[in-house]
Amino acid sequence: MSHEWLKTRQTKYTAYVAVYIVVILAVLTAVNFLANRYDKSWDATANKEFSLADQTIKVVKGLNRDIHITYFDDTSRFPQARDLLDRYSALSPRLHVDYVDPVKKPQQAKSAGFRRDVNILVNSGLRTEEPRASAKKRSPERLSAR
Amino acid sequence: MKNVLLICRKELKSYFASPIAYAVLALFGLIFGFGFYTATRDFVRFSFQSQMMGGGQTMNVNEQIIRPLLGFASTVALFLIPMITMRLFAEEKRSGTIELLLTSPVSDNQIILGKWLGALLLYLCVLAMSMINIALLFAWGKPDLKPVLVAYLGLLLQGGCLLAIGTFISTTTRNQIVAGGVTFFVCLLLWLLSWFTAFDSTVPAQVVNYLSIVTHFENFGKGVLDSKDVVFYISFIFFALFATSRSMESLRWRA
Amino acid sequence: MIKVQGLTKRYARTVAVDNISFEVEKGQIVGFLGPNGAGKTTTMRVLTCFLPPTMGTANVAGFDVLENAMEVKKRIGYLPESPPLYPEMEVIEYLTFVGKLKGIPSADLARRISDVVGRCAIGDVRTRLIGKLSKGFRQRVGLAQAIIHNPPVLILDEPTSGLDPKQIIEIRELLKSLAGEHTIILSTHILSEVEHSCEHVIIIDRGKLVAIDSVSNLTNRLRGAEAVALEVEAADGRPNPTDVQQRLEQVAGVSRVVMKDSKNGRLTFEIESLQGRHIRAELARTVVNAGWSLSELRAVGLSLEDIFLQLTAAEQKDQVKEGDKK
Repeated sequence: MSHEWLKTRQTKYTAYVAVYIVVILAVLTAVNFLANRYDKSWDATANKEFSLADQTIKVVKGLNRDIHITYFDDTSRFPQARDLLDRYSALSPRLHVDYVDPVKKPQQAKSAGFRRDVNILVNSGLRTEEPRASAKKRSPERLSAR
Repeated sequence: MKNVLLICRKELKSYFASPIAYAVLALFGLIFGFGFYTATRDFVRFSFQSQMMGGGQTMNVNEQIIRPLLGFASTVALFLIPMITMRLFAEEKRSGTIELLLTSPVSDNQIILGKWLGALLLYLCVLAMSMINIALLFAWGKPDLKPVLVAYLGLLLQGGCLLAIGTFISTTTRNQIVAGGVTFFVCLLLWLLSWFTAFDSTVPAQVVNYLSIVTHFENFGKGVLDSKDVVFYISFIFFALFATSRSMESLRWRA
Repeated sequence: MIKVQGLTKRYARTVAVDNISFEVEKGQIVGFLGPNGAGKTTTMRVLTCFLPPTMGTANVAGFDVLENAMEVKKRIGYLPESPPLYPEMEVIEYLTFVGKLKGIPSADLARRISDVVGRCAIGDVRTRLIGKLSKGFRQRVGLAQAIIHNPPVLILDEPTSGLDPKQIIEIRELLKSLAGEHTIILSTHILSEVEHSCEHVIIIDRGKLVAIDSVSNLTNRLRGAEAVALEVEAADGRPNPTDVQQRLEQVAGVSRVVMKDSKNGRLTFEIESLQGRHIRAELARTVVNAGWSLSELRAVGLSLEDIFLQLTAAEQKDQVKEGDKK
């Protein structure tokens, strides 16, 4: 009988700890989820280099269609592209960005529509656009027009 | 709260009474100093070259020196933190002083928080050393201050996470060396994990990537204070310290 | 002040403490006596809330060690077997830390520190690093931290270990001076410790409670008293149990007779002798002469003797060691 008692107290404790951990994890996950939804950021750089123009933000946030942007480049240049492109995808759950290295993953690149010399593809389901690099900031405006 | 500060002070004094604090500071000072020297030297060299070639390239001290340097600092911290946290609980268990702590009218959570805070303050001293180097850049150039402060906040929070992990691991063993080794291994794993999943767009990879401490530093490094990153770091620290509390609780049942 | 009921502590396969119960009144000094590994330290660790009991309850100063651990911890001073010292701290620094840890208000702190420093005679090493102290001084600093906040209950695990005879006497005096306003429970494996410092003693061996008594009773019982189990056959109520008991009580050298059982046609008694008397032969003669059937006669209750032998053997070993050192 005393052996059962030991098991009971110890199993009770283990059960309590397990539940506690699960609950806390659930709460933290929820909090982080919300934090992602209602994200606020402050760009402390002098030139606001890492922020998008207000107009751009408005356009991207107001997207009513899913947009896929595929960026083709050498893997080593991904971080730089990310600096900008992640800003876009953070604004709207409808904007997805994929980074594909055509050298490392030719199959994936091809099926995403890669042709030689193409850098960025913007696919809105209705049409696919190839904005020129310097026109990156203007492309969302062109998107919205379609 | 009083108890937390009491234990924090004791821990800090202990650190500086032993070779650990000095070893960590010296090691970091050396490595970071070297990195700083290299980065600055390359920058100067590059700026001379571009001057001679007719100029035109925008040189940004923040972007080209400070940001990569602080990224470098965060990596170095990754490896120094095990040295800081390994003795937090392991030593108390070995020497028997844990019996004093656990039979005094202080709660487990106060003990954990106090110790973690002590470790964090030591880490702050380490960061302060790097600030001396960075301050030189401000003396000789005109870098943007605010992004630098944001980056340091990121370093502090990221350090807090790793210190919390180290604290947890320290409660699982009596042997300092084992605690340090395991912490190092875990930190390394976390670092590598972010590296491997950085550009993989599959869902599981993205999840793992999101959980990485290194990933969330990116914004801070750029000078962008993003609320979701702050929330992530604080959640991480909370969970690691929570785990430490459960571990201490189970200590009693195991002892 | 301390109330333990049915306390059991198990680890995986071993039972360190097995169903012990005892009570300690306010102001008493109680010795916790038993060989090494008997379960004394474990019991103390339960009383100080360091370990949770597997079964049973423990109450210290009116609070349960599981339900109200924080309240218990405020009211106890604990000296573990190995004093919990930080070698990198100075003595005063350490006592300050412990004082604050135990919740002494800052206004009283300095006074309390000088008080315990005086009482434990550690004034000479106030500013010395603990790591550099001799065993004797360390033990005394350990004692100082236990009493610094003037707790109503003191739990001391081998408080005189490592001390030389002069220091041991000093500590005993200190403990005596503390009794009355403090309730003290101290553990030891040395019999004479208990004789000198304590009024009551609890004996424990292999996790089980062996005896609780006042020191005087115990010394009487241990000094060569004998316990005997005696069985007499009875049928149809003959012989009459009361008759048998009376007859046995009249045997020379018997101090008391307790009837244990009277069924299945057997009358079982447990008989204790006076100090130094051997009664078995006489008991046998009495039974036979009365015409009763003696079915069993054996010595019993050797557990106390066993303990005593073990303890005195240990003490003799210690004394020999001390002798060698001189």
